Amino acid sequence: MDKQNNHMENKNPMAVAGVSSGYVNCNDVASKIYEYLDGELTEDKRKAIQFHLDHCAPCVEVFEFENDLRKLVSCKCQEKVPDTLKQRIAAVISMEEQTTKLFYERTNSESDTDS
Amino acid sequence: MMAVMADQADFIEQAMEYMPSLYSAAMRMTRNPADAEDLVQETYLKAYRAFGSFQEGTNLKAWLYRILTNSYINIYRAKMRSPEIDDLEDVEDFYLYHRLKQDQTVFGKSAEDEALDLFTDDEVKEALESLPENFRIPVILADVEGFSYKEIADIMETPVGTIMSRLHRGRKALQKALSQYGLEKGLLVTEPG
Repeated sequence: MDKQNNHMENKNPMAVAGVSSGYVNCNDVASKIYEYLDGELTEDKRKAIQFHLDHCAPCVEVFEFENDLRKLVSCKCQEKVPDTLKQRIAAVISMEEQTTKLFYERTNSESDTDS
Repeated sequence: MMAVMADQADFIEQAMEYMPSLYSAAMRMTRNPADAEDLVQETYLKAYRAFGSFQEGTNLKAWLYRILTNSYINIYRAKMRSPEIDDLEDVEDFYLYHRLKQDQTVFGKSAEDEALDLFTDDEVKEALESLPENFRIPVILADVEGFSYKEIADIMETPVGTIMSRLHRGRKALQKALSQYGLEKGLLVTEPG
């Protein structure tokens, strides 16, 4: 990212704004952007990145692109479950259920005979 | 007996709603519908049998994904006999963004966002499926399913640091794969330098 894109100047506007979570520059944002997107940062760090993004157009452009890309991957990779699979799974579970029932019935009747 | 029956009814009620997302993940893992169906069926059968050991109140979706992922690794990786790939070519950060930005003269300002809309479902799926599985699975779990790093680490039984590193490199590799489609579609004009 270069200067001509008007990245946040190298001073500490957060101190002015009363944000105590520390100053982050464009490189910090770049290195933390995925953790920010993934919701994995502590509240302090999240706020510091948010503050930077609120004031830095080039960084916010990258952030929005990555955010859009992530949404794209998520929404383009959804599949419709074939009806045959739903039926197969229902059948397999029902069969398993029958087997379990038989096992318990047999165990119970054996213990009845024992007593 | 009553407890077992109650468990089974609970299982059907709670676990079935995850079938679309499990099937989507299985498609990206196995890369074909027949294997994906077998994998999801195997997952539900194993989950049904083990449901008694599932702790109520913990994350059922993550538990199902753990069974899915383990089954995939044990059954399909073994079947393919393909070596595990732990290394990926290093790709620049925000690769696709920079590539689109660099070529923006062709599409005008703000082309990056619009360019994304031009990728088809199949292109995005194929780009994701082109990643080696050590990188593909974390990307599926994070970007498609929205699991946290900790949940992915639990699902894959791999340390969080390793997951973060693979996720980062996997995402960059995905961007590189997408940019190849971008080049074929004419969204990008410059060959990678």
